[in-house]
Amino acid sequence: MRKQMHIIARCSAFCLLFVLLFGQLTQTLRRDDDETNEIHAFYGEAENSIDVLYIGSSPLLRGVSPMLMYQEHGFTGYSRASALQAPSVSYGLLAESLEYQSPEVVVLVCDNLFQSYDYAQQEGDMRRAMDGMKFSRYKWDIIQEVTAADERQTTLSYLFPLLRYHERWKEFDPAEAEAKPLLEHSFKKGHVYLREISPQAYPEGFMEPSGDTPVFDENALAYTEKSIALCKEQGIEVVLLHLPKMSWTYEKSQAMAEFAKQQGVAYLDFDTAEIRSQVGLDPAVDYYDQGHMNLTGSVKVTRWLGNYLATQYTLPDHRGDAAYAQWEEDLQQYMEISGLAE
Amino acid sequence: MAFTSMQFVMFLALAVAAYYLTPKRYRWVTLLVVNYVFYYFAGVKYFVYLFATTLSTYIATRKLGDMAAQNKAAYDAAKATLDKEGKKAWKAAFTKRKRRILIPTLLFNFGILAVLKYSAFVSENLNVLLEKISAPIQMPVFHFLLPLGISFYTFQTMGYLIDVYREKVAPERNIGKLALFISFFPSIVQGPIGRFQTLSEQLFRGNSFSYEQAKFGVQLMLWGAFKKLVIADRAGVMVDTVFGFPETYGGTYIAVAALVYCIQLYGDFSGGIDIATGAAQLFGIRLDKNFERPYLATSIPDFWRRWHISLGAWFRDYVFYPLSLSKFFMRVGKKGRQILGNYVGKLLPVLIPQFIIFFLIGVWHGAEWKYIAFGFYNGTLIVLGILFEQPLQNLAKKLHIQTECFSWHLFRILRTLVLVALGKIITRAPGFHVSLSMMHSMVTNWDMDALWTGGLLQLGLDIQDLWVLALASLVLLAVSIMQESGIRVRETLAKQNLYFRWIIYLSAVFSLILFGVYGLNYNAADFIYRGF
Repeated sequence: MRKQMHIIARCSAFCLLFVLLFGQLTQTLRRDDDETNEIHAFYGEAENSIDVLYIGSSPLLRGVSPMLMYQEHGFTGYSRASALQAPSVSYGLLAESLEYQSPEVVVLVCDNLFQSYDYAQQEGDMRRAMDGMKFSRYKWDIIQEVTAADERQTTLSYLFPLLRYHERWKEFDPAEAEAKPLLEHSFKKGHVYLREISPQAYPEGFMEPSGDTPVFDENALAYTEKSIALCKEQGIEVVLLHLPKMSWTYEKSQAMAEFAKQQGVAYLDFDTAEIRSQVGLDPAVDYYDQGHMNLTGSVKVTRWLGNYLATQYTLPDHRGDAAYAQWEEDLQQYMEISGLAE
Repeated sequence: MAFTSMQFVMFLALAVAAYYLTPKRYRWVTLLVVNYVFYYFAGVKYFVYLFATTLSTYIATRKLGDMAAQNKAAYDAAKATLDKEGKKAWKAAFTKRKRRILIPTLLFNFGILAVLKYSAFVSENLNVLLEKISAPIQMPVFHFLLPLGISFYTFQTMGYLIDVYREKVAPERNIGKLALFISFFPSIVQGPIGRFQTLSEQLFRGNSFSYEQAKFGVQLMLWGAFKKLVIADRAGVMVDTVFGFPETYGGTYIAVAALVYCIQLYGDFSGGIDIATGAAQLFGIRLDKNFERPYLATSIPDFWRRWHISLGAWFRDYVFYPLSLSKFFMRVGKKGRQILGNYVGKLLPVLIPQFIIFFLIGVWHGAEWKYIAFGFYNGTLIVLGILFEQPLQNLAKKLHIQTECFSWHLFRILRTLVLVALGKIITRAPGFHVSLSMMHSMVTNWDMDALWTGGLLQLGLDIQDLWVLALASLVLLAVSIMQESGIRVRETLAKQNLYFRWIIYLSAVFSLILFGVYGLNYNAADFIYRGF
């Protein structure tokens, strides 16, 4: 018996050492990505402290600043956004987030409703979001959907990212080697801004009827309907959002508006002439590229969206509330580092 | 379910747990169920062939057993009345009766293998022939998918059948136990081809868990996975590049690729065998050895004694000896001595069966002309080796070459390696003709400089991968040399301090995780011998 206990203790110690080293190597070799970190840092927010939750792909990541809304209106928010976010990931992130937070409003960015998602081609985009997610049944469901669609990808490689990134030892520089754990708390609240200005011009006939008939992607539509249903079930208001994108069309905007109407939720389209003029976007200075805002553009978009949310919904003002002191610290850091304080 | 997949690791863990949780008496039943579950993952339709082999062998061996018992009783009763000739006649008559059971069973089982493995090859070649003679008919060509491990389990089972026929082993009375022997999952995929005498007791008795055995088993599996994932699959990238486009690469590249292919094939096959042996060890079962540092062999016969030992032993016991000791070959030897002289004539009953065996080994590897050529190549080398062994020894003596020193030993090893590598070109090239032109290019198109001026980096591996391949191969060589010197690596390691051992174990595990060729950026290959 004593020998057996000794063996068990030794095996356990070996396994523990293995797990520690495995974790350390994962942190050293995994892709250090802002989006992944921001998605993960969401878990660092105090429970039930977020008033507005934003879910969506890169236009949201670049274009909306929950921190500026807090500064202006006092309600809190967090963006769980990643480039080319798959509809399944959007749903998974939403469902998972609702286990930590009880927001008043959920804003869903829905540009991906017209695209079919190719898990094999967009593995990198999938991992950018998934690597930041903790293990949950939602993450498991996404993994199963991905691996069923692309048999080259494995469940284990999503659960243990080192198995995916192991060949990155080739890029390993011992001088710079350090374990980079995922971010535990973010002052950006999911807003990964871009400073570069790339002057753009609206394409000819932008947002004018062309006679095209846009087709919703069935899978994306199903996930969006599921997301809306989940929010309704929990008594959460939903806003469908389209952020400025020069490849957007009048027909897509109309189809989205119709879909929102059917679903009984609000729809905001920043490419409609009305909102565009109210926001005051200048394509010469506010864009990073044709589909993304830069920091100055995101300030304008955020201001308009913040006003909209503040006037349309009853959102609390936490400024000055001692329970939200961390938000004040985060705001200060955000303003300083983004340069918006100047 | 590939041996290097996580599914296999999980399956194995569950299987081991199930085995030891079962009462000892019924552990063999659990193992049988585990085998069939494993086989189920390969494809449920293949059970037909496995069952056909199991059932036919069971019936045949039971019948042979009953016949032997009856014959013994009858013979004992009649023995006193028989003279020497009578006894001989009795024995011959009984052998004849036994053959009526043996031969149809052999034909049936090897027939299944032949049809599934060779029918397309035979039909295609017959069609070429028919076309050449403008015959108005064509043979239908059927491409069958090979059931998992059919070459291995057929040989293993037929070995058992012949042993029962020879009355070397008693027939197994329990069909479940026979099924277990035939389908033991670690060895069904790519061997080793086991013998009933050594495996049956271990399989049927219900083994107790041994921490030491389990530890050694896991270590061996790790070592096997290292050979497969770090060495073989990395080498495979280089080999595929050159052999995939042989006309693009000059002789130097082909020589390098041939040597790297030797490493790949050894890493791949022996790695798979190590995983199988380690997995079997977790159940307390020791499989037969299949490799003994083949690239340290000093001659081609020596190489074949060290490479795929269980297959060579199978052919030796069930084909070579019966042929070599047959009356026919005795007569050939006698005649040969009269025509070719004493030296060659005496060797004929060895040389011809050897040649036949290597032809068969070649054919065993696959239904392609290149494998037949490979068989002939090895057969020829073996025959020449035997024929010229004595004259060469005499020549060395005359030239005052010291043959009991390291340099001569090394020369023999390198010479054997070159001959083996040439043989590997035959099997790896897309066709026999291509392999000949590759060998021709090795002689006529030689440019060492190209390799060092970036040429090596054009073979699919970057500089880091080349370093890993080189260092891992050196580790393999070092371990081989240690084993060759009689050092038992795992046992020696077990005697070291805990900290040192753990450093080694963790280094092994993490080098596998980090440097293993798996995942999306690599195309990890299936085991090569699994296809045979």
